[in-house]
Amino acid sequence: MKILGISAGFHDAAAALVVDSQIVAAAQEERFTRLKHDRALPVEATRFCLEQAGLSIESIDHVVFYEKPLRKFERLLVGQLREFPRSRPLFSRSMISWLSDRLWLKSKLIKTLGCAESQLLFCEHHLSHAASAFLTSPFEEAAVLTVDGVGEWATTSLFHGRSSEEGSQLELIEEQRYPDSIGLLYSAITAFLGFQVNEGEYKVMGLAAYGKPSYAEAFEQLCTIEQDASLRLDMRYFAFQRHPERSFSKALEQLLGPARAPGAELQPHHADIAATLQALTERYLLALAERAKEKTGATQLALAGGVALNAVANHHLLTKGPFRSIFVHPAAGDAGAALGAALWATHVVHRAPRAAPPRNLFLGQGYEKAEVRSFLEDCGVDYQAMPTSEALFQETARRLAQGEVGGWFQGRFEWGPRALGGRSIIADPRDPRTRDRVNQKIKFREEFRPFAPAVLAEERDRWFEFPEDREEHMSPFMCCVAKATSEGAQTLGAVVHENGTARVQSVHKDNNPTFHGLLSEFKARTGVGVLLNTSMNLKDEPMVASPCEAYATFIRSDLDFLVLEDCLIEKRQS
Amino acid sequence: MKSSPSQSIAVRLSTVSELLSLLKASGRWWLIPMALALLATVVLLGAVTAIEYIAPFVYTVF
Repeated sequence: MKILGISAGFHDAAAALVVDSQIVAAAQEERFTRLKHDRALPVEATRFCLEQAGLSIESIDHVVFYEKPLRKFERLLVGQLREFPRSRPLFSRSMISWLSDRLWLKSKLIKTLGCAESQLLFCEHHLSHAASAFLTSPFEEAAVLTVDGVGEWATTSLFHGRSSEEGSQLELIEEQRYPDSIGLLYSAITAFLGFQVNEGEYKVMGLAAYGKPSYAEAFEQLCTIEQDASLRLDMRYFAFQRHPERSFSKALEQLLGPARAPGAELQPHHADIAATLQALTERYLLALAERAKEKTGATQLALAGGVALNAVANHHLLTKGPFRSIFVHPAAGDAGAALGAALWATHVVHRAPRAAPPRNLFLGQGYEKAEVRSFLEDCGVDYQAMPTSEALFQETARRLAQGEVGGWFQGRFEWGPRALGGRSIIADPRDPRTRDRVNQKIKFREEFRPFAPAVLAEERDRWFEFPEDREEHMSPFMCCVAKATSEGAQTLGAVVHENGTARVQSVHKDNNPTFHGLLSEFKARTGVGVLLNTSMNLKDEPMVASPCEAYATFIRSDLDFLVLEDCLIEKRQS
Repeated sequence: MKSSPSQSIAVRLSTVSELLSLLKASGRWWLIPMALALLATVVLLGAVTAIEYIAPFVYTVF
């Protein structure tokens, strides 16, 4: 059974291919087109997935789209009629967009991807998210929560997932419907704080660490969390339901003060608003988890949807929630739903038994060593070819220990928004000045934004605190923060955030051996099995995919060296 | 695999049919006239773009 999953249309278009229950390839379109959050139909990502498996589109059993566009159109009509006549600007804009383009998705898929109508399947948005979480988790039974802005109608859904030799099922238990949505609330506050929606939510989460949740009373007016964990927004404070560009109303400015203009200086009260929003998100997710436990009786939780990218809230769920084991799909946003749609068709529709959960998520495009050398030679770049992996680890670790910052390009690129050692910028985590240097001269981004540590799995607990009575499957994919131990807080100045936490990646020898080898060598030199690890890209660019893009990032930034597979390039010689 | 114009029209018609079925099934049949009016506008505008010689007569519709 060969299934291609597709997500596209709003943000983060992606394609994923599952062949005989194995995930063969998955990638976001932005990695190929270099347009951040590219939403166009993923033609390039599809081409890559098919090439990776040596298949043609005709040989695919199903092409599965991650949501049902007609149900979404129905929600738009109903939602905008409810708000009429105030929704006129949004109505005319969305109708032009839908009637000229989005409504005809089936025709577009056939024309653009070259598939037949009989190959097409459509999965519901939250079901795609749920499948991405449950069917890549190590669980055979779990409560599955999906939380995001909005799908067709649902904004939060609870499923009960079960798998056996006879296939899998995802039973919908209950759902929260539009417009009551924690994701849309988070986006509205993101816009209020002067950041771009669908891009700035990470910044709001990072900013929250600098503030105190002192706006709790005001937020009580914005929304209410009911006894049954449902959420009610007071729509007087929002405009996303009627305005094409504004997600909050003037009433919100009367409540919280004037909105911050994009690029304006951040004030302490902005951090306090972010901290209050973060506290509310954590409280809501915790209430949802309690409800999920009560309704399903499961002891394990799988989580997806854009809100599940909130690594701080995930930590809160792990430490304070009722589940003993938690898994978050690493590409929890809409990109991940492409993989979810493909897995849903494989295991739920066709009832194929599940394969072992994926050991790692290096599902993107890779390059042969010969291709890398050929590229460097064609460009006339001087490089040092390392004879063995050990020599590469030793030379890289030596440079890092001396305070150099390097690019690290190995194997296939990662699935999801996190760099996990495939396309990373790495540095010594001990010197706090490294963080400022990487923010200002390498990634050219806001100074308050933290960096994550990659840590040898075997010494994770030396540096970071994880609850002993809970099992987490998040840290291999950097989906959860943890508080630094006192030794960690004292030693790891570049990766421990203002509030004493860090978004940890634990690196295991069996599923990420190359990165593990480098970390082990760094530990042998310094006694610290930790590296600063951030994605290899410049501000507002997608993460690099190819050696050419990695080299372009290297020469446009203050990186000291770049490792492309087994080749080491120094700035001063290039 | 390339689809012919007639196949393309058939796929679009099936989309319209699915939309109307969905609205009926979800109890929102009262949206059907509005959806049809919107779709008729699209057909009209599409025809105007595609067949230039009927364009001068369209203004009478509005």
